[in-house]
Amino acid sequence: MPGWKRSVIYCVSFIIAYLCNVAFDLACGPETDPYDYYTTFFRGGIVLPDHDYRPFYFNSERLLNDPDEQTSEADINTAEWAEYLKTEGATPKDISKVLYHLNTKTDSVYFRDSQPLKHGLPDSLKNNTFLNALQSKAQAQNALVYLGLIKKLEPLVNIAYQPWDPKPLDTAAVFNAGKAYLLKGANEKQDKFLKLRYLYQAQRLLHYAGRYKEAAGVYNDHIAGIKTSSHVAGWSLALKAGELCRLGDTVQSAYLFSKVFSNYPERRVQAYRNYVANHAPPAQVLKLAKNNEEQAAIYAIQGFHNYDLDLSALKNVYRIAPKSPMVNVLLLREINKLEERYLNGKLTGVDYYSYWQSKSKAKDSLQTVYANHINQLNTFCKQLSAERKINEPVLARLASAYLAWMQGDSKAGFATLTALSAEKLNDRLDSQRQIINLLLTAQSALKFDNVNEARLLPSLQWLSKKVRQEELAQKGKPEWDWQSYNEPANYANMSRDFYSLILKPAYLKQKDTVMAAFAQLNSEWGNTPINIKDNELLSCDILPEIWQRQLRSYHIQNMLKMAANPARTPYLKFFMTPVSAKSLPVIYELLGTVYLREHNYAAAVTSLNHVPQPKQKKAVSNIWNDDDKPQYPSPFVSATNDYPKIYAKAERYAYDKLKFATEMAALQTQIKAKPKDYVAYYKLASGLYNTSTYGNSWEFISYRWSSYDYEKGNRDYYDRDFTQCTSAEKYFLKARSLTNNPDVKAQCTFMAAKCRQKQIAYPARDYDDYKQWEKREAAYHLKVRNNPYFIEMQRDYAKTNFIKLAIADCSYLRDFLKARK
Amino acid sequence: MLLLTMFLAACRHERKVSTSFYYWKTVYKHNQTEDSYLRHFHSANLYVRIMDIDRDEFNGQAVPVSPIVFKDSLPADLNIIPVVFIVNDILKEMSTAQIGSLAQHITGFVSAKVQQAGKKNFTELQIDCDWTATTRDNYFLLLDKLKDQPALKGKTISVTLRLHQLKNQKNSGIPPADKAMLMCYNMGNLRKYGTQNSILELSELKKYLGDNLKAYPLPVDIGLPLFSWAVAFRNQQYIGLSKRITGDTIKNQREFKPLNNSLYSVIKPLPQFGLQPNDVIRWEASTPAALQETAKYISRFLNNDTVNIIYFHLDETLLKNHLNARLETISNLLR
Repeated sequence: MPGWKRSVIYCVSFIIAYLCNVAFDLACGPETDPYDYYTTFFRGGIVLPDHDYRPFYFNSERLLNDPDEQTSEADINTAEWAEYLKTEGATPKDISKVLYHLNTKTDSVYFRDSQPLKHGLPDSLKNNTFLNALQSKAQAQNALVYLGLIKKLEPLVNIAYQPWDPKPLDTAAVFNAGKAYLLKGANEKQDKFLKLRYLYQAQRLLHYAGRYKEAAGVYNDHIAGIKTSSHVAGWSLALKAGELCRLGDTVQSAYLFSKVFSNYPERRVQAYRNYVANHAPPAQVLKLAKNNEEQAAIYAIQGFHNYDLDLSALKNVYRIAPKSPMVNVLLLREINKLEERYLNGKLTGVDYYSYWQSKSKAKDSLQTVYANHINQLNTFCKQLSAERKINEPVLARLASAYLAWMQGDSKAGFATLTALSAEKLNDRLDSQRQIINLLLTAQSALKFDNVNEARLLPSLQWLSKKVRQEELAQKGKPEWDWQSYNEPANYANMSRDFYSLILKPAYLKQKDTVMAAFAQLNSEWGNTPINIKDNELLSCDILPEIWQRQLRSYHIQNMLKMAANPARTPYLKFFMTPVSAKSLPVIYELLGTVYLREHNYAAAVTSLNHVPQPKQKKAVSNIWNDDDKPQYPSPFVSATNDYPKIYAKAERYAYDKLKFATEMAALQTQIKAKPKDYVAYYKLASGLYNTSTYGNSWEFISYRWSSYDYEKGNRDYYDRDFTQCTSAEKYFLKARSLTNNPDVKAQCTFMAAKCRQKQIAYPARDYDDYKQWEKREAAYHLKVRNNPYFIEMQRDYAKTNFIKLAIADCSYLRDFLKARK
Repeated sequence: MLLLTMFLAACRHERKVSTSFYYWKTVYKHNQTEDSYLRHFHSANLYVRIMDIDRDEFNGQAVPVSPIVFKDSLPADLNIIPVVFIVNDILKEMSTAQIGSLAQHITGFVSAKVQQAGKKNFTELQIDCDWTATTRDNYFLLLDKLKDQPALKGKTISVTLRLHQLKNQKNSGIPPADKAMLMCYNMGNLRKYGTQNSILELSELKKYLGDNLKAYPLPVDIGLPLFSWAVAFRNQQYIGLSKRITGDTIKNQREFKPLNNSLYSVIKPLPQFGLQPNDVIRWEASTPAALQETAKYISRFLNNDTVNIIYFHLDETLLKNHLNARLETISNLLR
């Protein structure tokens, strides 16, 4: 192969591989927010000052809401080194590079030696302030030796990944290294910074070698007595806690882990996990606590591991350490638990204990439990607020107002908020106040009229602004960033839930479907104009379900009028933000579809003419046919069987909504002109049948299809055609009445039988009483086989040619005839 | 006639039964209780899981997963029989060259691990794989390649045999091995909601065994279960095995409400077990009674004069539920 050819192949392969990689990355998207599985308007991400305790925000689906440490151990170590070498001018960036970011080769060549840097420095590190500092003066030289030793140690404890190498960790070598470090540490008299680090490494190595007793001895004999604020002492303490666990003293181990939890945020998650895994009796651990802070940490850990509604941890921590930030976290957890179990069910209708919901007695007792807990928590919040001992007592007052909203007492909620007006709130707490105000305003409105909508508007505008700010803050981050979920969309999620779970139901309650539909649009589009790509113009997939399934033509006409009215209220202008001139074709597409459902075909033609039509007809997905050739809707074919569906195989025979509407309108005109034209009736009936879920053109009147549609009954207003085929049946019968041809009559009767079959209700599945359900299902099948039109087929058309065809194709008819023989 | 019957019964040759265990943990350490079982049954062999082999999630290569670490050497009077579990799926797309290389890797790795166990040599290597019709050819090729390894010359290559492979010999084929170990467990539908015991249920076993066992062309050892587990369901759909739940945890009535003999409803959120309220746990155990019933049934279909029973697996907490004497009864039933 000539060289240039090979190069071209390599280049093309590389580009394809690269682009595929990009596509996969983009397709993966960010991780979902683990905090977003229940409805909450009281989020840690908004009200708490930092994310130190984010792993412990309430989330009953995980052991930890966020499994990552919130503080970087590497950053702390780097900062300690920077402090140690501050007079020599070492920068944290350069320190971090040498400690954590050099490749194996550089480490091996330059550092892993008892005399590091004896071969000089690579060009990339010539100006590294850390290394220059280490070489600059005698004292720092010791640090350089230490650096060489820990770099040398790394391959021993951080084994390179060679999967088929059967050699296990060389515990003897690790143990010996540990002893050598111990000697170094014990002999280091001058430099406390290095002494602690040598001793920590010694303990760590002995720990890794499985010599827990000796490792704990290093801590007890050498490290415990060092007075230092270095976090390295904390890492040693964590090792000691683990060693005690291995040696069987789980109570002492749990106690030490609670100390690490309190004092070393870089090891907080690790300490919590280990505390929990110890399963030590809390009462015994508490006995070891030496002061209130230590007790508070133990109570808090117990509280973070408690998924029941329970105020004890909150009350205990408050009693002994009211200033602890953990009080606020525990308070938040109790609110979130109520949101998960009580509020979410109240708003969404999907109860937390959904299984128990059917058992009304259990449900009632649960409601009492929730109500009592809300009252208890509210009373405690009032106490916190009155005593003002916690950090940010305003939080407790806000919680109280929120609980009042949760109970439906907007009067009490407003009163609590009003009492806050004298307080100067920081941004976080003021944001929460705004959210509660929005919720209370919505709750207090008996009816959403112009007056109440105007009251609501400022809060909605504020929320919208917050959502935008949040989006902007996220924009810098690539979508595939695996850490993206660390910044949950707090405001966006709340906005989504407010519109869909509070405003939409309120409008539906006052029978205002149009405003409910707009509320849902705002929920899904975040009060921004709908962003439509050209290929989406013919699909209303971007519209919410309520639009696709519930809107009638008069609703949409009303919307179009509202959109065209320049004098609409500011609230309405805001509320209709998602609808722009660009989105109008989508709305006309929906209107055209709704007219098809309403059999107003002339109006459908007019509406669909507002929608830009593609040059080619859209093929349907080829799931029923074996070949891969494109196939198209063909709404006027007539077949004895529904499956496999018969499609048009060439584009020139294909239909789209506009062509279908035009032909149906023509048929309606034809029938008016010639009322006895049975062919026109038959064709009209076929058009209706084929746009049902059983036909080849279902997408002309529906935006979704499922193989379970036959179980759905009459749920949507267009189901009389889509699942029940009642209009088609009527027109097949009309056609039958207008013809004298017995074969055509038989065919019309058979088609009417197919329509009638769809009206036989399929029994709702009941897994709790499966046997009864099986009986009901058997009864259903019996009904299907006793279709009333089958009697007519047998009685009136037994001698037609058509019935032979029908018997060959239709097993139900065969079963019926067999049973009557 | 009675006398004749007695005579015939007396003539029946007593079968020699040897008992051993699987060691299926990732760290080998001496344990007095476990050792006492080995001694009680005069076990000559211990079947030690060396590693699983699965696909590396980054480069797709077959690699060892959780290889065993020997904290102690095996007792001097106990032979090691290394066992390697191969995830069936990895065999699907392997080339002949890759299979040859895998056989080499397995041999080297197993030999080194045997040394780490304090043993100079081993006489048998067991391969555990739930092979299917689509992986059969590659799996059998791997077994052939293993036999060709110089370091395995003269050693027995045995394979595990699952019930479906025994029943469906036409599709599953007969592996080119020296013998097979029939796994008399994991037979029911684990994922189906209900009260069945998917670990060991005689009625299920009967569907597979019978003449299929009698006519199997390889010598067959018998594997019997000692383990128990918690099968978790949500809305009656299988969600997994909750490994942290033990026989003691399930008895905690503040967390689990008994629904009947084997089903328990979860009362409160238990994130440490990955469970939510209303999840249902099916507690499945291999009871001494079920083991005895099984042994009695199997006994009829064994052709050989000797039979090896291998219990899965040697673990102090599991052995608590199976007294020596009861396991002894099982050996007697197979004699």
